[in-house]
Amino acid sequence: MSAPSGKRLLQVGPLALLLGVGCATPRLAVPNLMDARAPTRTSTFALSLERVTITNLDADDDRRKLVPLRATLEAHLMASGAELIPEVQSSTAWPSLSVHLRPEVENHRTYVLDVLSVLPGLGLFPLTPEWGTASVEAVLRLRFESGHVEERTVRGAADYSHVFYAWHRDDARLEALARAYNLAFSRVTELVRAALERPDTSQRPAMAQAPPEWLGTESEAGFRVIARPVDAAPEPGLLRRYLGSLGGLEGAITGGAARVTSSARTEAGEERVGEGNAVTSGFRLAFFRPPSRTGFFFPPLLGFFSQDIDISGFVDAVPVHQVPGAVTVGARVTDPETFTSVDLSQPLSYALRLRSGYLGQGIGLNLVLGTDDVQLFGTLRFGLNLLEVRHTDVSLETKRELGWSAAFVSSGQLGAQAGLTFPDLHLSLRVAAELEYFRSFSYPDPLEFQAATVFNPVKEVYERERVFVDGAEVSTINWQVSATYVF
Amino acid sequence: MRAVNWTLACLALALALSACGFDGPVPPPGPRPVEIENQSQFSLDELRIHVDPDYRFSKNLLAAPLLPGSRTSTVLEGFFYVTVFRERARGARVIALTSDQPLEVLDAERFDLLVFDESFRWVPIYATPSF
Repeated sequence: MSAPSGKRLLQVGPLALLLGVGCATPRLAVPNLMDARAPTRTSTFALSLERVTITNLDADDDRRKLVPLRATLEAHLMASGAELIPEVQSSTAWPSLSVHLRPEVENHRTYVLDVLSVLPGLGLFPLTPEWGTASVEAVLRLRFESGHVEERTVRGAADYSHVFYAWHRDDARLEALARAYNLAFSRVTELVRAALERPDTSQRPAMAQAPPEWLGTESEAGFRVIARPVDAAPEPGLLRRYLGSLGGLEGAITGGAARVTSSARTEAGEERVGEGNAVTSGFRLAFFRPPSRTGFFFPPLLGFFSQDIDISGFVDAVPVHQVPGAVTVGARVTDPETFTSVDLSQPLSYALRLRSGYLGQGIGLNLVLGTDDVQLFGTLRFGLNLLEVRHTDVSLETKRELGWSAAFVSSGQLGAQAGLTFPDLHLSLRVAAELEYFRSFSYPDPLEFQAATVFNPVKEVYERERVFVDGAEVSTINWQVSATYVF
Repeated sequence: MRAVNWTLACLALALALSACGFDGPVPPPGPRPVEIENQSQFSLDELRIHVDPDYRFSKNLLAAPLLPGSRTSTVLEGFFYVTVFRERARGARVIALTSDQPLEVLDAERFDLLVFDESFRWVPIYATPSF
């Protein structure tokens, strides 16, 4: 087997790196002992902390951290008034506690920006966000002196994110794990104390089990990847809730350009024989909701495209070529009906009215970074039109032709936006652009254009080949700059 | 001897006058056959030959449209303009293309008139000398 070439490595490398994301995610972190609460109770209770076990660790986890992790749990228990019995003295004379831990880390990436970071030539592209949730499930098993056993399950979680250079960092993830351990340990301690402070349990069944208790997710603070809406509290009042669901009222300055081209195969090869351009500009008022959290989304596409545009051939001189022994003369061109001159150097121009109703699927990615006060958002969206019903209306002078056609996977759109949101000011600013592309928008009948002037050696004359084109490529770009009052 | 001298003098004068073209005006060539070939990429709806630049009062010489590569023939003499009618493009309006200068029937045996997309070629064809 030969060694892979450098080019092959460049092709496969980014894919391999992306597939490898998340394979090595340590799940062992030691909370700061200072996080254990100070004793608030004067009464104490004796407790034997027997086994503390943990599963779902990663191969990269440093097992030496298990000792300080147990020490943290002990600190929590002692802070709540527990007098821990040394293991050598353990017996059924004291209640005993076993805790089983199962940490988990859920992480997400944009992938798009990760590809940028590993493409050669872009260097160490810094914006490679990673975000997620670290959670710890603790199953506590408390055995009383009477032999009665209570088993409870609690689960706590904490969000984390790395905005820059996430490939090379795990500090925020480990810090979130530590917060999740703390949440779980705090609740375990509360449950143990509450159980031991209850009256005599001798009449209870041998085993009592409660449903798992969800402790919630601790949010991150400061500048971060915002993966949950910052202000998720519902607005009071029906009207406010309704307005809130609309997002906000946006005023935009809009602009756009459309381009249509037709190409044909001529004796000179593939040649562009017709093109047309159109521009638009204006203002727009609409409802708009700025993205409030980072993540992928999958919008269905159901839309209508409409574009009126002229497509024209190209101007090209046709010289008169003289041959020996003959006289070659040019032509004066007139309209026989009006006897007025016609300028043949003016290219043919067709008026196109293109319509398309389409159905497709999109994929988008929102990236929201910032704090509770200011958020920077960016969106990249791609859509593929799977099915289209097209209507084409072509006019040349007084002649008009109409036609319907169906197209499958022949068009799509790419959109992007970037902006800033100030939640306290109810203000959002953004710039957005969207590109639409339609491959081969069919004409009802082939349209005639003229190829570039060439010398015909058989006729010994310059001429422009007549070419007939079945369809046109249509692309549009629309942009806007806007401000939104967010309800 | 004197009579011989006068005879020689008259002969020399006649030769001199003949060499200087003093034999009177050359009559214009008569009608000549003309082959008209459509070498354009368009079908020609009408073909008109006219002495004035204005083609509107001349008749169409074609009984049917002349397809690309087809020929027709006629007889022409003197100076004339030629006009053809064709579509500017498929489905577009009909335009008239008129030679931007008159063509002339000279003393060739016959002529070819080639019609191109935007020009005309007038080709005199002389008889091949035989021995």
